Amino acid sequence: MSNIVLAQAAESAANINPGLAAIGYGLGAIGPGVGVGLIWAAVINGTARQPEAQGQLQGIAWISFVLVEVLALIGLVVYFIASAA
Amino acid sequence: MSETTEQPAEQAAENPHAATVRKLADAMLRTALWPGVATVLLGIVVSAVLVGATGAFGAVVGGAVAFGSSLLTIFLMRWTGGLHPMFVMAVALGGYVGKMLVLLIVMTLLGGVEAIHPMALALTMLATIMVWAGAEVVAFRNTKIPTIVTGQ
Repeated sequence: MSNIVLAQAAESAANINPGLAAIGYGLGAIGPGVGVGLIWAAVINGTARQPEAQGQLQGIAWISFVLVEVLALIGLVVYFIASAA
Repeated sequence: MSETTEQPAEQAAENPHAATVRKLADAMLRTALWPGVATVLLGIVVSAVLVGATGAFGAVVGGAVAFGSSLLTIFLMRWTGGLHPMFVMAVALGGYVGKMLVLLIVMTLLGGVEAIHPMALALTMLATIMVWAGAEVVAFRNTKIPTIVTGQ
């Protein structure tokens, strides 16, 4: 009897796994979104204070953008693995 | 009348910082391209050996998705080099949201394809993205960017 219950529980857990993965991906995309916003807000502030430094500020911002975006892409890959399992 | 006002409008509007950003974008692309290709090839070989044809196909698709995602950032960087930071912020955020939406749809659709091994796709994509980002950081460290660019 307990084996049947455990099997049903495992089956229902597998059914909600894609949904949980999608929720996890959504949560994982929030952090990088905030990060991207903060990066470019800092560039706008810095350029307003010193327009001559715009090129360097934008370069730093783009490499930061790439690193922050990697986090979101890792979340996407984890979502793919969890939803395909 | 000063020299600035005598210049044609398109020359006066050219932002001198655009060359700096494009130089960095070119260096990032040059540095990251071949390590990225090598990572995809390695992923294809390892997946083909461990899983077979489905693994190799999954690694090809994963590498292609990672390449498309990384190249879009370089393209956005080159395109927005001369724009005002406020527009660049809008483009960067729009690019981020658009990329995440498109990738979410693509990955969800790929999850149902039988001919693709999901783990091979995921790990190859992850490795390519990490190697590409690392190579871009190396390019950023090695590229000389002038602190002050006068002329605007």
